[in-house]
Amino acid sequence: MIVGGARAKRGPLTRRQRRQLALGLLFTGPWIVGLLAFNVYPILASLFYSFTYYDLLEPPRFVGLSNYGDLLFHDTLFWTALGNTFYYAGGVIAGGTLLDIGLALLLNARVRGMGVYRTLFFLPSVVPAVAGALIWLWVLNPQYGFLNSVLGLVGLPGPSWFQDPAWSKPSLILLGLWTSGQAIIIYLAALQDVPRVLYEAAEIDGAGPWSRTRAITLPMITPAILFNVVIGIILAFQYFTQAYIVGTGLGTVLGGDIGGPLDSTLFVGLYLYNHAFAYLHMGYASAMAWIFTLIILALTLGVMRSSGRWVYYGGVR
Amino acid sequence: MARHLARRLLFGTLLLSLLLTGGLLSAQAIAYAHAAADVVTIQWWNDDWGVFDGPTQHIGDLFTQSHPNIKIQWTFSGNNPVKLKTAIAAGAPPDCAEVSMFGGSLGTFIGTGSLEPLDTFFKQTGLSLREFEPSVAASVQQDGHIWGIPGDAGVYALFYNKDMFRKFGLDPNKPPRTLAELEAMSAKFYRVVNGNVVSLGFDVNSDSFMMYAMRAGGQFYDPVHHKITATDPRNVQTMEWLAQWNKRFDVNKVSRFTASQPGEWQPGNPFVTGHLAFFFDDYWAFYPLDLYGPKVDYGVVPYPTLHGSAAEQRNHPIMGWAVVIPKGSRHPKECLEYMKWAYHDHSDLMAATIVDAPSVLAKFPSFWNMIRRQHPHDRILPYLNIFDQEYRQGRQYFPQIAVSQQYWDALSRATDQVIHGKQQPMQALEAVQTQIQSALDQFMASHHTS
Repeated sequence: MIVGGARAKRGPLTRRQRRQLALGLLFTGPWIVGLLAFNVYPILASLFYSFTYYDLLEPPRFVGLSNYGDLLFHDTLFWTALGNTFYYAGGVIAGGTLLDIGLALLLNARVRGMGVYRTLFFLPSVVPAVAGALIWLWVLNPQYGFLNSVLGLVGLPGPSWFQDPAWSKPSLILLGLWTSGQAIIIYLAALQDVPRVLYEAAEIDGAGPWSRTRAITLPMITPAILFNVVIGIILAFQYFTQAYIVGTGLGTVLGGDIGGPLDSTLFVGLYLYNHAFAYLHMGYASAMAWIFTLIILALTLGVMRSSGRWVYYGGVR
Repeated sequence: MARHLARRLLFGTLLLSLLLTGGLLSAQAIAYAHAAADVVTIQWWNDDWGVFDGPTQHIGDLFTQSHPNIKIQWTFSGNNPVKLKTAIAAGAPPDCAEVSMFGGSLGTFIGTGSLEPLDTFFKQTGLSLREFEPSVAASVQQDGHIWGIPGDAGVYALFYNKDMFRKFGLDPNKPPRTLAELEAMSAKFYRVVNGNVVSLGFDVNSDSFMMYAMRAGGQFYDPVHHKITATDPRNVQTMEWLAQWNKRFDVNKVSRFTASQPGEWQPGNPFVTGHLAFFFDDYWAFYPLDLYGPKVDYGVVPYPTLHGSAAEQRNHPIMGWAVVIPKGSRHPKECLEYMKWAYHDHSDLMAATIVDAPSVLAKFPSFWNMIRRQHPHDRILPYLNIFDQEYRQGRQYFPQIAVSQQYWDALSRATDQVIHGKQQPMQALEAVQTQIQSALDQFMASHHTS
């Protein structure tokens, strides 16, 4: 504390300060204990186990960097899973951002019945993930599914969707885009925060709709874009449920192994799950989790770093 | 004065309420304690068998009628193996469980030390694994110990649609006996219209490469030297056979067709609708056929082999599920009492009730009689002897070792690569062999086994 131009000496806490500190710790104590027990400890434990061979039933055996080495240099399936995850994340984030902003712009128009339209676009995001995946297994059924039937009506051959290694990830991206109602709501809120006076001034200057969108709307909602992109990265890289349901629901081809066909839907989350809970390779799975965490961290930091160049807060960069 | 009275009245009411509540709670606690001392409730975890969950529970109820001190609380789960492994690792397992031999699941449980050995129980009760079908009996043994009681044994025979035979100009009295005949007939049934399969003979991918390879006499593990033998010549030949079959009957078109169709246990499945000429299953396939295809004229033949010879029948793999005691079970004694009653002493009744098959050889005659009595005039009855013969002759099974599940998944993945033309059979199997041998070596080093 600076007093009269000089730093005051910090003496011991007074009785009142000690009491206040104790009260503060008492009230935040349960949360701190929970944080340590259910967040910090598991994170540190998984770091420890990543350097061991551990199947939960015998004590962990220290193996050094062997798990990391095997993953990075010998496990081709890990790289396949990583590639699939990047493919999915890129598709759903890029495609989702464009689609969601476009839909939000449309849903921001003042037309009659807009509440109904907004509800319809939001509804898929509240459908449980498992139910949604099962619905899309039916919609994208290769021979009798709704989408291929519609394509057939206009003379277009429908692909095999989930059955085709080339189309399985786009099918999952489609499923992901269908459930992006929450991002649309966030963009809608951001659009409504854009001051009308900016549009009026631009109209006076003769700016057309596209110029106004490019110069005013998009820059003003960049904070919302940043938020959705960062959340999208975190969620997309943790992708599991729908891929698991689709994989096990694919029927009799090779017993419905998850990750099929041809490992095209094998994501890091699924691969990690298999090693951790099916094969009980906890050490290997922990190493995989840490490599993946560092990748997500690097990506997120990169996005946050770059945000200084393209995100406008309150009209100021 | 009135206030004093009111205060006393209130105090008295409160005291009386407290006394009454305390008394009631104590009485209830005493009642529970008495009940707990008399009746043991065992927690049983089982795979979800759909419509057969109810009959499975019924067997438990029948047991409780004759053993009123033991009750069974059932949990049926679609993801039972993963749940069970996690529960055992967490030190909170059920008392007993059912574990499948398919997918290498049982082997992984045994190899990772998740189960209690039953050697002492077998000695004390006089049970012998020689009473059980040899393949499933072998599957519950490892390192000289017994780790479970075989619950059922499953075999496959070939069901064929006689109506389709007539429709496509084939003689329904001459079904295929060899793989070559099966392929030739499948070619006759195979029809593609506008790029979509509308009629199929046999979906070769409805069974796993591992089962085909075992039928061909292939071996997957050398237990003496602890060596993974995925590249056994008969395994490689089987993989080559699968590759050429999937090339001949376009794997992408066929998988499009099979993915579009309901499964065997669903209404409108392609066998009953006349779009699939062959499928394989155990005798219990009569159940959905009766439900969804009561008018379908079908026949059953032994699973086709390379040469159609009787000697090859010994290569039929027989696998099923076993009942086990997880490590940390709180009531192993009561579990074993039920397991012996249901899966040995009354295995015929158990199997007939849940439409399964017993694994105790001596129970087969009474079991088949129960089936005949329960389903008189059923179309399956003339063919029961085919299944009976396969049960008695089959000797193959997938190795149940610590890395069995990973091995099975790796082989499935390799098959996927080969049938889609992405890898050559030997290349794919060599990669599996290297991967799984490494996993096995790591496991053995960690568990100090040699």
